[in-house]
Amino acid sequence: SDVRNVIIIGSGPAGYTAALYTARASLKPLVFEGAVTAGGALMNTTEVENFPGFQDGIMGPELMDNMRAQAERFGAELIPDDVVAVDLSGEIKTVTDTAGTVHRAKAVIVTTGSQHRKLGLPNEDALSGRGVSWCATCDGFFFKDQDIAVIGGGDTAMEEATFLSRFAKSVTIVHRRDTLRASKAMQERAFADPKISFVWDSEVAEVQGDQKLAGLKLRNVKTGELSDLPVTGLFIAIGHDPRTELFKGQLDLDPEGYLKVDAPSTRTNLTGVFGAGDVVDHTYRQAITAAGTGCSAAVDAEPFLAALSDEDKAEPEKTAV
Amino acid sequence: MTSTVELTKENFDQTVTDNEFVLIDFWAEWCGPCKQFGPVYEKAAEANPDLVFGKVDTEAQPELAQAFGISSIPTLMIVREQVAVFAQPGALPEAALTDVIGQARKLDMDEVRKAVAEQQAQAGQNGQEGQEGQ
Repeated sequence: SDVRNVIIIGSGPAGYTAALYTARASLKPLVFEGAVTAGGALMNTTEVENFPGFQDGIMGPELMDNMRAQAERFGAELIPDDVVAVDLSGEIKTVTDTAGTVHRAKAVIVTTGSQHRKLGLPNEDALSGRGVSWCATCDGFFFKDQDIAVIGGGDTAMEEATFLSRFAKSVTIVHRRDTLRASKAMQERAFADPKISFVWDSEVAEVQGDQKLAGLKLRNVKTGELSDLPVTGLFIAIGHDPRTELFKGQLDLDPEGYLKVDAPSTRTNLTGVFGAGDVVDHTYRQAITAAGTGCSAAVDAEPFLAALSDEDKAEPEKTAV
Repeated sequence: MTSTVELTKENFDQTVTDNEFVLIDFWAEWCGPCKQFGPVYEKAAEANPDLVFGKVDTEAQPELAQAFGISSIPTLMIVREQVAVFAQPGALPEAALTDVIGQARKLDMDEVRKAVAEQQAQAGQNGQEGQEGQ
């Protein structure tokens, strides 16, 4: 019955910032935070040292709690639930939650972020929680004095390796190239850590173990040579894929699945639908850039909604004439 | 008001012996996804007052975490009549948790016990064969 101004799907820095701005513009946003992913990727991090304004750093979950509270303070309605279906084509867009309730809105802002990329190996899921982990800050504690492998060469891999070395006996970073993608600061920290060693130009060929992770078979991508790495912990940080499954066939996606927007605006191919944060961004993928584009999406949605309400106001006059 | 029970190494055995249906949430303060799952679990506890919803703080209770081989949190475990019928890492969404509880309620425990006994017998036999082989 009642049609909202704007629904925001997703709740990382992009979603909460879009919520903050649309709430302050009195648009009463409804935010689907996700059933267990509320707060987004930063919920799984420890210290965030590069979010401007926090001189001494801030814990990821605390930063997200603050953003959430700030959006709520201005009247954003936050729902800790997932969206299972959307219809974005019409003037009135519909968003269906897990209980099957259909919510309607004139504008939708998509900030669904990304999810961990998997290795795609047979044992990976079976040994998940049995040595294979996706969250170093959650699980590092359980790997005291053990030998651990971290797969990947980006910031996340370096951060996890550096964090895990506090607990582990040894941390081996396995990377399929001979240089790291991670920022200089992160690289230097990892190189300086006596517990961390590197295996270059290599990928995981096999995840071994029956009830528990027993080790890895590595393949050198240049020589094809196989080697064994006996580890009891495996942390996979090989990047992310955008969460756009829900929008396939409706919103234009690029070949890698990222949501396409008419940059520098946040407009998608459908009128009244905007995209922001990591779901759009191949390149920067930072909390601050996500927050920045979240703000842009809110600022793009405002005039769109204002124009709609002008039309609504104009209509009765037309009929009167 | 909380509907969940803090489990420690002192009260754990008693709790799973005295109650036929116990859920256990292994968690820790530092774990973001655990904090997300907390309220979902609390809500399920309120919706299922006939079941015991236990929580194990893995930092305070390392022995319990180790005894159950916990290496990822949150992990949800369901123990019915002292048999672990479900154990899975990862924060479940509300609908999925409701579903898991529903399925665990429907389990025929006589069947489960029979299956466990068969498995154990087979494992024992395999072990013997292995020894004979040497």
